[in-house]
Amino acid sequence: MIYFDNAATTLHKPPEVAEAMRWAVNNLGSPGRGGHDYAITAGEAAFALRELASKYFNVGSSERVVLTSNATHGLNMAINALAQKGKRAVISGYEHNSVYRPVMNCDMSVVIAQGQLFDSGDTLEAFDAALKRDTALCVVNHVSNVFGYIQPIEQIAELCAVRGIPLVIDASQSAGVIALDFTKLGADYIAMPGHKGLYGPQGTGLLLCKDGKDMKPFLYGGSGSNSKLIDMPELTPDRLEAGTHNMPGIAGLYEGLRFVIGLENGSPGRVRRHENNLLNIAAEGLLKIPGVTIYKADAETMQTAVLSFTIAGKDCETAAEELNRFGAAVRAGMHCAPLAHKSAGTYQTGTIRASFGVYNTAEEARRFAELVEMAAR
Amino acid sequence: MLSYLIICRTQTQANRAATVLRTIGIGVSVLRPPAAASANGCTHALRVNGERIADALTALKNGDFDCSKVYLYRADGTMDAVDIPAEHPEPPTPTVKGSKNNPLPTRRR
Repeated sequence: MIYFDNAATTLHKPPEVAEAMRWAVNNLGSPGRGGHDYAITAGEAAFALRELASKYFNVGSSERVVLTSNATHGLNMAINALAQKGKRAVISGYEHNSVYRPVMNCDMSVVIAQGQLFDSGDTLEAFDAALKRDTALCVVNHVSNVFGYIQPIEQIAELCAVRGIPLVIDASQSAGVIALDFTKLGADYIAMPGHKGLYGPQGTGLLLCKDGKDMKPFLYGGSGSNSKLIDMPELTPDRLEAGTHNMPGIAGLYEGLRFVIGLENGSPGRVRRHENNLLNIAAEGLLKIPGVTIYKADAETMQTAVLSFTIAGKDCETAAEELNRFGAAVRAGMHCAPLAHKSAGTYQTGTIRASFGVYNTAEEARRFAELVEMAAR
Repeated sequence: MLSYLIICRTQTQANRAATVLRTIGIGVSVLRPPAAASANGCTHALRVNGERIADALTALKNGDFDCSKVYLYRADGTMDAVDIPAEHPEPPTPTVKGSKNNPLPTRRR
C-alpha cells in the first residue's frame, strides 16, 4: 500500500519511536506527581524532550516549550491566551479549522487576509492592509495543509513586530520540514503536532512560547507544583500543562525529533529536497492524465510536498476510495480547511490530496500516477 | 552528611538547573523536598552537597535562575531555611559511595 497521507499523520515512524513508547509504558511514572524514582525519571524524560526542542527550534529556554496533545490543543491555548473580546483578529485565507474555529468562536472581529494561492506578494499585501491598530491577534498557517502553499511568515512576523501585534504561527505542516528559528521569527507562539513532520506518535505536540509568565491558562487542573494556589502556577510550562502527561507519547516524540535532527545533520534541507522530488515526479505523471488538474506552484520555494488535484467529472471522495482499492492512501474532501478551499476556488468540489514523507520513494510517486490514471477512466 | 536543598519553582526549572550544575561538575539530585519547604505546596528541589553549595548558588545566579529558597538539610530529615550561605558551616565529611550511613535513598536506574 502506498501511503500518501503524511499531511494527516506520518504513518511510518522510525523503530525507536515504538521502542521508546513501549519502554515508557512500563517504566515512567507521572512527572511532578511524586518523589520516587519513576516520577523523577518521567520528569527527566519530559525535560529531555523540552531541551531537544528548545535547541532545535532555538527557543532559548526549555521552560518555554509546552507539551500539548496536538497542534489544535496548542493553537487553542495560544488563541485563548491572546483573544480580546471585541478586538480584531487577522488570519490568512488558508487556515485549518484548528485556527478558524477557535478564532471565529472567541468573540473577536475576524478579518481574513486573502491572498492568491502561491502568491506571497499578494498575501503580504493583504496582511499589510488587514493588520490595523486595533488588531489584538494575528494567526498564520506557515504551510497550507491542502495545497502546501508556504506563506511568507518572516515578512508577516516583521509586520506584526513593527505594529506591536501578537503573532501565532501554525507550524503543523512545516515543523520538521522547513527550518524554524523561533527566536529569529519573533512570533509569540508557534504550535505544532508531534505526529506529522516530527515523526512522533499521535497525541503529542509542542507549543513554543515567547513569554513564560502570566499567560491566561486554557485548562485548569493539577500541575504537580504549587498545589495550594487556586490559580495555575505562574510560570510555563506548568501554567499551561494541567493534568497527567502522555509519557509514552513524549518518549516517542523525543525519538521522532532525534530522527529528524539526524536526517538534517550535515545536510540541511534534506527532508524537503527528498519530499519535493517526489512531488515533482507525481505531478509530472498526473499532468499527462486527461481531466486532471493539479495545484502546483511555479517555484519550489512556494510549496512543500503536498499536492492537491481534481479529476474532471469525478467526485473526489469516490476517487480516493478507488485509489485505496488500487493501493494508494490519500485524503479527499475539505481536509478540515474549508477556508483554504474557498480561497483557492475548490470549495464546491474539494480536492484529492497526496502528501509525501521521508519513507516514500520515487517508485511510489511514479506508480501513484498510474493508479490515478486508472481512477480517472 | 549535610546537604542543601535549593527550592525551584517548577520541575522543569529544577531539571534545567541540575543540567547546569552537572555541566560544571557539581553532583546534584532532583527531588521532592519536604512539604514544609514550599508555602504553596508541591515543588521540586536540588540536593547539593554542602561543600559545593557556594559554587552551585553562584552558577545558578549567573544562569539567571530564580530559585526561591535554600534549606540546610540534615541527615535526620530536619531542615532550616538559610540565607544564601557563603560557605559550609560544618567541616566537610568524607564522601563514600554506597555508604550505609547515607540517610537519603540512592536512585535506582
